[in-house]
Amino acid sequence: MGRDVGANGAALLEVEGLRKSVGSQEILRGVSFDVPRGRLAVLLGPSGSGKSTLLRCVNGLETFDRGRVRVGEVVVETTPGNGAAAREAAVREVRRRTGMVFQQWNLFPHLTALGNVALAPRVVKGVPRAEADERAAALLRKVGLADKAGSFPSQLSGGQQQRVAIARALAMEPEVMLYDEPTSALDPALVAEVLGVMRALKDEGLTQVVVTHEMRFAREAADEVLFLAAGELAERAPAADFFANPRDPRAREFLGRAS
Amino acid sequence: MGRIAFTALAFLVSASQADAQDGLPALRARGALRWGADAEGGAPYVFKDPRDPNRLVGFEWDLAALLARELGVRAEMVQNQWDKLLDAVNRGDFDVAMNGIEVTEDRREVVAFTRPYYVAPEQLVVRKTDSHVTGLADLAGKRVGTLKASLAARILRGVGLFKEGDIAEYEGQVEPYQDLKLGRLDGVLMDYPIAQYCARPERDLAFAGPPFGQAFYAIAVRKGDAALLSALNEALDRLARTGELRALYERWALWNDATADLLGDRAPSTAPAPEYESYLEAIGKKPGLGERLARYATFLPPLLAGALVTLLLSVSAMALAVALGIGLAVARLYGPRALRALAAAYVELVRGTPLLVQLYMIYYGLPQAGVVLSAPVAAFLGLGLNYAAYEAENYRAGIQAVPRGQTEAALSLGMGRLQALRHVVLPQAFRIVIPPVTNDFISLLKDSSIVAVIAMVELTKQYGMLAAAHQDYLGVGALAAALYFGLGLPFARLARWSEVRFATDRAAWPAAA
Ligand SMILES: Nc1ncnc2c1ncn2[C@@H]1O[C@H](COP(=O)(O)OP(=O)(O)OP(=O)(O)O)[C@@H](O)[C@H]1O
Ligand SMILES: [Mg+2]
Repeated sequence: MGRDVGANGAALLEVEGLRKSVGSQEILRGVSFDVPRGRLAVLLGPSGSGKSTLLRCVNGLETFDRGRVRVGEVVVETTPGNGAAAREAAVREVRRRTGMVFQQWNLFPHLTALGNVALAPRVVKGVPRAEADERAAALLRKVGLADKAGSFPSQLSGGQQQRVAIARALAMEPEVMLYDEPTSALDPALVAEVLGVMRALKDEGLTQVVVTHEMRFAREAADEVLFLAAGELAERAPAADFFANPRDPRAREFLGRAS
Repeated sequence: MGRIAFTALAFLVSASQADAQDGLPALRARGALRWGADAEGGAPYVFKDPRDPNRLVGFEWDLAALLARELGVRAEMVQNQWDKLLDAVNRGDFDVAMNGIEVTEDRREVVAFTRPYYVAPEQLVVRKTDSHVTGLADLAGKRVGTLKASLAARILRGVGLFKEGDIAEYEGQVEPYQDLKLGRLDGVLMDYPIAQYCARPERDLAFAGPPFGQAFYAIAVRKGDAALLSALNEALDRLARTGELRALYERWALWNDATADLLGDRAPSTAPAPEYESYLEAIGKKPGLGERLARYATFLPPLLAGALVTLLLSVSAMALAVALGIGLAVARLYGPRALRALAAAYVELVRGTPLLVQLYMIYYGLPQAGVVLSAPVAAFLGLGLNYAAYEAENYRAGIQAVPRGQTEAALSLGMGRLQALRHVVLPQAFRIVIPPVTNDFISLLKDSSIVAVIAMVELTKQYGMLAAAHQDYLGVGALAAALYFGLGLPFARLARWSEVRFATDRAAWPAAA
């Protein structure tokens, strides 16, 4: 299988043999894939197939039993002998390089839009307040919310809140953005503004992994489709190929139901 | 909050430092005889002057002045809860305790007594309408009242006329007579001086028969304080010899045969009793409304002073409770296993035991381990450590009410656990706990009255002393209640305001993520 490679000769994000069980239930059964720099990969799959769990494992919000995750040169793995402290440090480093956007936004309700975006750079990187605020304002402008800097989350629409959440993640200057159903909780009318931001980021060359049910977006914007079924990566193909000619029977069924 | 707490603590510490030094030389060096008594006990021992609530008077007040003069120093009274006077003298809070303390074998175990300075017989008092009663036998089977742990109580038990449940023992000397007037009791047996001052002036009450029995009042000093003990005995001897002691009792209308025997001075007494007369006049007047209001105005300074102590104590104790409570909540939620168990044990233990027991252990128990805390510090620690357990639970609930997604969002941005807690979770938890914490603070304001048991003179204690002196529990009570209400009101308002202030950003919190 031909592999796209990043500038340094390897993919930017790499997941290898990821396994996770909760109790007796196997949620991920050895998932492997990689995403080259600058690409947008869409993660599809029926409900309960493990998409969220996979993203959360990459980001270290959940632990996994077997396998490894690499972002750039930072590796998180579960081989014996890898101490808990070293692992924790690696997880934090991975988080620093990846931005995560949640279905429910999870904005900080006690801070303004500007405060939401500026908090992490100040706390984590020690950026002075004035500089952090200035950069936060620029990011809000970029997602089309220049005039909402002083608004609290409760005063914003769902689409606006999700754009703030994207700006908040971008503020840490991640190399990879992970999105878990970023538009599922939005009114249909507000979906386009969020997807528009993601398209613009793709044009800037940002690497993105998106779990979504927006088939049109996947068809138009994705470079590659990863299809997950029952905790296994059932199919991986360039977006055009996947939609034109899905090989896995479960993928065919999935597309049949979705369209 | 922290700075306020510190300032308040500094104030409390400087306000009164326990003086742990013993002995006559220390007393002389200081130039003062510090004597402990409880002004809430009432007339004629030590009590608030009915004419001027900022002044203390009483026959023991006068006696302390004479004794101090004999020792070549001045007298300095230290207010202390009556039933804890002996513990306090042993703690070193003052040199001696003198407040109608009767010599008993039990008390001899814990302190040394001087020779008696007064002998009090017991006087039976009944309602005037029960004029057929001339002795205890006429009250057989009825309900009688007296002071707790007194000679009178032992007499009532010993005569075999009353069932155990029919003997009511009171903490204060005014309340039994009130209950007698109200028909809750049929007779009251208490020391003669009390009957003379609290029952004799009452139109509805009458002395039944002559006084009987002998309670010996003596001054308590720490065991081993031999020099002070003998100096006091010599002083009492001198005062008896010169007739000054007799003159003192006559002024207060307290002279009696038993005391005459004690002092070896049998000459019949015809001397006038100016102090008693003036007391009767002061309390006998039924004041008009204007006069009554003017009198209430004079109660304000002591009540306000008490309210200030209540406020400072409550605010500083709450600051400690909140700071420690956050620590406990965080330890309990995020700490390593051992710390979690420790924090949980603290919370359960403190919430599962009475505040009063905790205060006694801190104030009277710690000295056994060599740690003598002043009353304000003990009160601050006792209330603060106790309320910390409740605040910990508030914060734990508040932290848990912040959706998990908030922590995850913070972690995904690269924050550490502590950073997420500090910048994302706690600020939201604070807003959630504002109402319960304010409620707790208002409870604390009121609960703080309990510290009167460890010699703190706060609002409730001031109320008790003034009400006892004037036999006016209703009017002074209304004043004290208004002050408590006034203390709590701004905080309740503040809480309401802050809830509204933060409501805008609460509305859209995801219900559960
Ligand atoms: N903490 C957990 N404990 C037990 N089971 C879990 C847990 N988290 C996820 N699962 C299970 O793991 C499987 C995968 O869940 P996951 O949320 O990753 O699926 P998904 O593909 O994101 O589904 P959806 O499209 O509905 O969001 C499901 O069967 C789910 O019930
Ligand atoms: Mg999901």
